[in-house]
Amino acid sequence: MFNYIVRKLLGMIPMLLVITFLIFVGIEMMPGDVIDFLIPMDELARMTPDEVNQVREALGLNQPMLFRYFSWLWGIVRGDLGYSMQNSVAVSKLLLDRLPATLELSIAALLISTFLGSFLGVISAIRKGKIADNVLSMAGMIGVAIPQFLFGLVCILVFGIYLKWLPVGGRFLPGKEAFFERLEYLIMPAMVLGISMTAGVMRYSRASMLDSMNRDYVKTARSKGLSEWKVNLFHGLRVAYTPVMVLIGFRLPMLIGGSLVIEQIFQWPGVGILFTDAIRSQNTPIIMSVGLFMVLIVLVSSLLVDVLTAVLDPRVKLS
Amino acid sequence: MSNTIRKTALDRKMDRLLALEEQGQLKTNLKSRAFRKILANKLAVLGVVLFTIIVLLSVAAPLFTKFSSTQLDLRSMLTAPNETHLFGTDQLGRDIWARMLYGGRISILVGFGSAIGAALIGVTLGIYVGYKGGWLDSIILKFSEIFMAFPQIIIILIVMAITKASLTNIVVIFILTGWPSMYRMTRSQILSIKEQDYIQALRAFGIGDLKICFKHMLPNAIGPIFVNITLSTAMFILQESALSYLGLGVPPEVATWGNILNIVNGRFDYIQQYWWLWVPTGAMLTIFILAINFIGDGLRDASDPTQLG
Amino acid sequence: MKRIVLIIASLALVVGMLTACSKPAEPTEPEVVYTNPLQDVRVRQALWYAIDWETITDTLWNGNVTPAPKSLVPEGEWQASGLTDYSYNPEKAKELLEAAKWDSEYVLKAVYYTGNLLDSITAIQAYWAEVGVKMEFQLLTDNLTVQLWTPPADKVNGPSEVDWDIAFAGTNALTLGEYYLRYHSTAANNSTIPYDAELDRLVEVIKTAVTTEDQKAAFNAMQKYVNEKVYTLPMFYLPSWIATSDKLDMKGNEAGNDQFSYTKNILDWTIARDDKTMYTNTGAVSALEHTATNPGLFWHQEIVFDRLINASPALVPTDGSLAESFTVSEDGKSIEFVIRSGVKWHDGVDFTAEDVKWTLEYYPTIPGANALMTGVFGDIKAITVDGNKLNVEFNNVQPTALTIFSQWAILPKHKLEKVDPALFSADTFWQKPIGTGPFKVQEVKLGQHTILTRNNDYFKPGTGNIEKIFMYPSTDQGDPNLVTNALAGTIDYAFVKDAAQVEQIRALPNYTVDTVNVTFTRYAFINMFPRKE
Repeated sequence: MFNYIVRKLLGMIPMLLVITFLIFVGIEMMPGDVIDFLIPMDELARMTPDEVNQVREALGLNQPMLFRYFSWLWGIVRGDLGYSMQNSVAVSKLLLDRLPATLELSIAALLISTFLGSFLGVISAIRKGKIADNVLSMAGMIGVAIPQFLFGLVCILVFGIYLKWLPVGGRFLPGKEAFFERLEYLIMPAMVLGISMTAGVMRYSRASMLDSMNRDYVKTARSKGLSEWKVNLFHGLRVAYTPVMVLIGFRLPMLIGGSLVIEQIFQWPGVGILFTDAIRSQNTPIIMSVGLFMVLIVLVSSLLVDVLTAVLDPRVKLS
Repeated sequence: MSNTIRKTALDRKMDRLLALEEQGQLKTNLKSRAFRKILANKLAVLGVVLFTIIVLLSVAAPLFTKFSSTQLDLRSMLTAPNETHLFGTDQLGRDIWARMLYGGRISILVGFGSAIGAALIGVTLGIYVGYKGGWLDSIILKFSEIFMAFPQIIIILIVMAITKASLTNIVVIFILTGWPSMYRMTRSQILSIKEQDYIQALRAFGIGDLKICFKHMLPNAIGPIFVNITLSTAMFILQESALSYLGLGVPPEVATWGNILNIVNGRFDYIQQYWWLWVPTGAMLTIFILAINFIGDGLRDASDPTQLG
Repeated sequence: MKRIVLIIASLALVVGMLTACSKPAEPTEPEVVYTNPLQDVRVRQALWYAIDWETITDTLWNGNVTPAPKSLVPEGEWQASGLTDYSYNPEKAKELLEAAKWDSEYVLKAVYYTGNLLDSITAIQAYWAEVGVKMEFQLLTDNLTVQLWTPPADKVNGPSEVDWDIAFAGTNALTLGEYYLRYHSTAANNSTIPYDAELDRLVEVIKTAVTTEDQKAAFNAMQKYVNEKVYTLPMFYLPSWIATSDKLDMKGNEAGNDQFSYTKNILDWTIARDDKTMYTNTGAVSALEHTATNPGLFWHQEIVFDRLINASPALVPTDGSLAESFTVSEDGKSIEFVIRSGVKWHDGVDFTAEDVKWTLEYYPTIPGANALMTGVFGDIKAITVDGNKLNVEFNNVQPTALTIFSQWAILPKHKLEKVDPALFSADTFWQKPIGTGPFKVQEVKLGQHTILTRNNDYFKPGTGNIEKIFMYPSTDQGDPNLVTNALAGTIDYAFVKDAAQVEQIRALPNYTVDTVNVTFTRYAFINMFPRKE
C-alpha cells in the first residue's frame, strides 16, 4: 500500500510537468497578450511599437518562452506562486482571498448531496420497485437532466423574486459577515449545487445497496432470521460510505476549482471566476499556478479514491 | 462542466467481472433478448418516444412552423404566446417555437457529433491499442490520463481563443475532452475479452489483428459502448447549453438551446415578466436530456445480464 | 462557407463576362473600378439608409437611446446644420445599390466587441438583407486593438491590415476631436479610411482651432464633409444614467457625466442609513484603477484624489481645487497656478508644488496613458516652481488644457517616483492608493468590496454625514451585479451604462434615475481599403 502510494505520487511529477507545459504553450498560442487587458484599446491603438515593447519588457514578456516557463517552475519549487501581471498582487493572496468562498460553497453542497443522496438511495433500494423507489428514481433522473443554470434560475425566480425568502445573489450584506448573518446567501447556491450532485450519489448508493442486498452474506443474514430493518440498517450504512468516499474524491477538484456556472448565476466570488477571468486576460502567473493546483487536486483525489476503495472494499487490490 | 467520471480501481474490477460474466452467458439470442428487455422497460420506451418526437420536430422543423429562426419583427417583440406564435416571440420578435426547433437541430447535432466523434477515437484506440498492448498502449494510457487531469475550462477557453468560437470548434473541443473516458472504458473491456479462449484460438489460426479487433471483439464490447455514447450525448448537450448560457460556447448568432436561454442571463426582468423566453426552451432541453437518459438506462439494463429484474 | 462564396462569385464573374462579351459595347461614361465595393460612396449611403434606427432604438433600447441619422455629433449647438438626413429609406437604399451595381452575393464581414450590441447588429443584419446586402458578424474577444485598428502600410491603396468590412464600435468622448482626429491618414488607429487630402486638411483645421467659433467652424466643415462621404456610419447616441436610492440626498448637486470627473461636493451629501455608509459601485476588481487613462470613471479616482481645477457636471472647468486660483497668459501658452498650502496626503505627508510638477512630468511617460492628456502634458515646455506658484509653459496653444487640468488627478511623488512608467498601471500602489481627496481608502478586497472612509482633514470640510463608502466591484464595462443589489436595496448611487439595467432599476419604486447626456456615440467603421486575399 505505502509503496503503491509513493510510486503513484512520484508518477505524478512528470504528469504535472507535461500538463503545466502544455498549458503554458496554450497560453502562448492564444492571440494577443496581457497587455490587451492592461491598457484600454483606444490608447493601445495610439501607442507606438516601441512603447508596447517597453511594457512588454517591463513585464518580462520579451524573454524566451522556455526561460519564462522554467522561471515560473523554479518559483513553484521555491514555493512562490508568482505575481499577477495586472496588479502585481501575489497569486497566493488572490487565491487565498477566493478560497474561503469556494470551500464554503463546495463543502455545503457536498454535505447536502452526500446525506440526501445516500439516504434517498438506500430508501429507494429497500423499497425497490415500489412507489417510493419510482418517485425517487424519477426525481433523480430529472435532477440529472435539468441544466444547473436552469435549476438556478427557477430557484432565483421562486425563492428570490416571488417568495422573497432568500437573496438572489452575492455572498453577504456589507458589514454583516458573520457566518449566521450570511447563511441565507449560502442556502440557494449550495442547494442548487448540492441537489444537482445528489442524483449521482443517489444512483450510486442505490446500486451498491442493491448489489450488497443480493450478496450471499446478506442472504445468509436474512435467512438467519435477522429482522429486515436490522439487515437494511446495517448494510445501508455500510454501503453508504463507499459512494460517499468515491464522490468526495470526484468532487475534490470542484472544492478548489469552484463551479463556474453556480458562481456566475449567484454572483458568488469564488475561484472559478478568478480563474476564468485570468485565462481570458492571459494573466499567465495566475493561470499557471491555479491550473497547477487544479491538476494536482485531480490527480491526488483520483489516487485517494483508489486507496479508499481498496481500504473499504477488501475485494479490490491495488496493483 | 461536470467533471468527467474517472474509473476507479473498483470500477475497473467491476468492469472486468462484468465482462467475464457477459462472456460466460453469451447466447445467440442476446439481441432479441436485449430488445425484449428494452420493451419491458417502460421508461426506456417513453424515452425512445420522446426522443423521436423531439428529433423529428427539429429535423423536420419547416413542417411544424412557418417561421424561420432568424426572421426578425421588431415591432412585435416579446409578445406572449398566441395563435400565431405558439410560444411567443423573443426580444427581437423572433418566433420562440421556431427557434426551439431550429436550435434543437444544432444542439442535438453538437451532442451527437461530439459523442460519436469521441467514441470513434476512444473505441478505435481502446480496442486496437488495448489488444496490441505494449509501449503504444502505455503511451496512449498516459495521454488519456493527461487529458482527464487537464482543467477543462482551460482547454475550452484556449482552443476557442486560438481557433475562434464556432460550431465545429466546440465539437472538436468536446471530442478532445470526451475521448479519454470512452477509451478507458473500451480498453478495460478489451483487456478482459482478449484473455478469452476463443480470441486465443483466433490468434492461433493466424487471423489478422484488425479482423480480430473489429470483427470479433468489438461486437462483444458494443453494449457498454452504446450506453456510453447515449449518456455522453446528454452530457455534451448539457455542457453546450451551460457554456452558451455563460456566453462561452457557440457564437451567439447561431441558435442553439443554450444560446436561446442566454438572453435571460442577468435579466431578472425577462425571467420574471417574459416566462416564455426561457420556460419552453428549458423544458424541451430538460425533456430531451431525460429521454436520452431513459434510453441509456434501458440500454444499460438490457446489455447487463447480471441485472435480471 | 468562404469557398462557396468564392465559387459562386467566380461563377457570377464568368456569367457576367459571357453576357458582357455577347453584348456589343455600349458607349457609356467610363466606370470607376472599385477594388472594394465599399469604396463606392453610394454603397455606404445605402447601408445607412437601409437601417430603421427609429424602430431599433424604440424597441431594442426601449427609447433609452437616440438615433443618429446625421452626424457623430449629437443634435445641439455643435451639430452642423444642413446635413443630409439618412433616416430609414429602403427604396432609396435599393436605388443606390442598384446604381452602384452591388453584387448581391458579396458577404460583408462585420465584427463587434461589446456584447450589448448583439441584438442591434442582428437587427441590422435583417435590415440589410431586405435591401439585398448580406452580412455575417463575429464577436472579437482578444487582441482587439490589432484586429481593429492596425493601419495599412500603404495609406492610399492598402491592402487592409484588418480582416473585416464593418466594425461596430463607439467612442465616449471627452472632446469632439476624439471622433475626428483618427480620420487623418497618418493617425495610428486609422485602419479604414484611405488617404483623402481634403479630410487631412479638415483634421488639421480642427487640431489648430483655438477659439470656440473657430472650433465650431472646423467641426461644422468636417461634419458636412463626412456626412456626404459616409466614412463612418453613426448609429445612435447613448446617454448614461445615474440611479440614486431614496436614502441618499445629494443636497442639490446635480448628476453629471460620470465617465469623467466632476465636482460632486460629496462631503455635503447625507445618507439615511444607521451605519452612515453610502453604497455604490466601481470598486476594485483587480486593483483600484489608476488615473492615467480613465480620469474619473471610478469613484476613487474622483474622491480619493484631487485635481488642480474643478469641473462642472457638464465637464466645463470652473474654479480652483488644489490650485487656489489660476491665470492663463495673454498668448494662451502658459498657465500660472497658485498651489493651495496646508494640504496633506492621506499618509500625513505635506502636499507641495513639487508633487504637481512631478505628476505633470510623469503622466506623459506612461505607455498607454490617455492620448488627449499626453497630447497636452507632453507639450509642456517648462514647469517653474516659485514657492506656492507653479507656472506651466506650453510649446503650442493648447485649447483643451484647462479641461485636462480639471480631469487628471495629482499623484503623490513620494509614493510613485520610483515606479517604472511601463508598470505604473500594475503597481501595488493601486491596491491602496493615497491621495489628497475627501475620502481615504480603508480596505480593498479584490472582486468583493472596497471601503473608503471620510477624510476629516480635508481642506474643504462638508456638512454631510457620510462616514463610509462601500463599493461593489465593477469593470470599465459596468457592474454586472447592479440589478441584484438594487433589488435588494443595497446600493445608493450607481453610474449605469447599460440600457437593459436602467430599465430594470427604473421599475423599482425606491430608485430615481437621472439621464445624463454625454457624448457617447455608437457608430460603425467602414473599411474602404481593399481586403487581403
